[in-house]
Amino acid sequence: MNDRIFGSISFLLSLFYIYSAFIIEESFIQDPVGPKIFPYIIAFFLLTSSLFLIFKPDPKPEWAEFGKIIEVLVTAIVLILYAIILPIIGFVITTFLASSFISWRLGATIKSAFLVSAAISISIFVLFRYVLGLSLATGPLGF
Amino acid sequence: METLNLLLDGFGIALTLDNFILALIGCVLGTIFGALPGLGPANGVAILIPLSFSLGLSATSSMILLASVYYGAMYGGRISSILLNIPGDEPALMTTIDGYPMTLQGRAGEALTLTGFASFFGAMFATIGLVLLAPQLVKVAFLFGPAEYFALFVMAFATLGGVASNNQAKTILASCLGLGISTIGVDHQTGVPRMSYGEIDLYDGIDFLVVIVGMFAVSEVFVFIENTRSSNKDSERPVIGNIIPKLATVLKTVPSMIRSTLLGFFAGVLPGAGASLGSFVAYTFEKKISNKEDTFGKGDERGVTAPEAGNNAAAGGALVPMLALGVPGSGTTAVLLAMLMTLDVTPGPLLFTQNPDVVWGLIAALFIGNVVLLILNVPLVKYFSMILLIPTKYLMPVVAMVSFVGIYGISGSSFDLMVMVLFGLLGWLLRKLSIPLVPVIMGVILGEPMESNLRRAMTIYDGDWSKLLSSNVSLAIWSITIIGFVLPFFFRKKIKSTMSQLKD
Repeated sequence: MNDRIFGSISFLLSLFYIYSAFIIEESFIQDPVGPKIFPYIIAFFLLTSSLFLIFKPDPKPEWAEFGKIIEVLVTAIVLILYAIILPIIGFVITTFLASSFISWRLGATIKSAFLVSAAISISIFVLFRYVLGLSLATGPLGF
Repeated sequence: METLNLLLDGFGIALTLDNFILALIGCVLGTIFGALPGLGPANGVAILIPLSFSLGLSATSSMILLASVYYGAMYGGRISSILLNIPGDEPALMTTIDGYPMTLQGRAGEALTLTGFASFFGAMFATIGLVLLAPQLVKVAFLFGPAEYFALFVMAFATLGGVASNNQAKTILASCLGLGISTIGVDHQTGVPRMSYGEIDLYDGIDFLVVIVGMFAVSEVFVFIENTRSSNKDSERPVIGNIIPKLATVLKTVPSMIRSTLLGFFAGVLPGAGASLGSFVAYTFEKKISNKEDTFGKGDERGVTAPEAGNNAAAGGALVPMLALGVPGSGTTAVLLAMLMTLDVTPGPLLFTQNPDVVWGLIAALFIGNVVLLILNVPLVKYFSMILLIPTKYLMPVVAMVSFVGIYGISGSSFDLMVMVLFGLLGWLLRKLSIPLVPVIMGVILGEPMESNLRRAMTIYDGDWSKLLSSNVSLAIWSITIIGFVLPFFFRKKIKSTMSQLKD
């Protein structure tokens, strides 16, 4: 991905944004500007700056090898899964798993990732739940 | 006199046990965030905001905690700059130039002590400057109407693109992304939903805390994952050595501290500049006037005290427009502003009349925090330098998991967490394309007040757009905006060449 591609995406985004602003239903309460003008102004600048990116791009950024990018995307998916199962299973187990994954991908051995993550997960739970009194997700097991 | 009384009241608030402990925690955490490469003031404040919010801290207490983190990070950034030649955060970049050579000469302890004092000097002066300047700016700000405020917000974005960025088109694009996100949800003035496509989760809009934590904390995890190399050797234990410098050395650095503090404070007060510019200007200026024997870049003491005094002074200076006008000039002050807005405290001139306890409690806490930070960063600095030994593979999971705890604590919603991860991914992508994140964050935070000021102005002027330029004040602000936007086109080349010369 380089500036040209991102500029083109932003260009399409600005068109979509204009359309989204266009279909805002006006209310019977009205002020001189209304709810549409500010989005139109933003869209104008978004469109102009995206054209600049398309026609005057910076040199291409250095991308890490393909595998690393996949790794970032997989991490994002793991974190989204974490967000979904957190309220179902509870804080300690899910956090242990997510934290182990990150630690492992950052170069820890599986064994040390598990050990450290168990410590991280339990100490965050104790600190925030019992010392600071914050409500954390509790699953059927109560933790 | 009135100011002095208010400040004394402030000390009464800041010295209560709870607030003092918060300031202490903030200073320690801030120094740690600053010292760790890859994490800086904005990340530290971003991670702690949702926590202080879910813990139900008052506006005053949260501000004391977060501003201590902010000041602390400015102190802490120098530690890894000096010991490892890796800037702990962006403003500490200039400190590597003379700091690391000092370490190679076995004078790391001396460098850390001198910069600790320089940081203290800069931050203390800037806090005094804040006390003197902010109330004056408030008096001026009372003359501002919605048209002037709208102009000020535009100025904040236009000048962001200035010296600091490489490509103005990218800054504008980033600002528009942020502003666009801020328009999602029910329109505050007419009550119609915008950009929501019938999604109930979007009617409330996207909480800016979710965006902030996603972009400043979660994206950091992705950056680290991408850059991990298989040969991940553990960092060596830094040797600090003697921490007491000779009196003559201290005296030699005093003038550089004074000059840099003044420059840094000025750079900080200007919109859109912030601490990085403060340290850059301070170092360049100091080199120009003191580099008579060609000692800079080879471990000259003045080459470390100048940028450190400069960035700490700039950090304090950046609080002036944020508190007095509600218009932040840097990423971290924008995040602090976001926290005040979340707690329904309106920054700007009204803050000084309606919530003097917040302002003066905060300022008093900054004075106390500075003394605490001096102790943490000079006699105790070797304990903080050990933090650099914690490998990122164990540190980043903590950063990520605590970010999740904070956001989940506010809303208890999985949807917010998912949005946060997506913003983390977006933040990572934007950073790859060197599109700055600060304008996005500022757009998300300032979009609502910016639009409502525009619409209020138009209601007053009955829809006549030319009236936006009707007062002298708004004319002046618009002129500064245009100059601030256009001028960097001419100066950027020069600054860039100086920058690359310095880095070599």
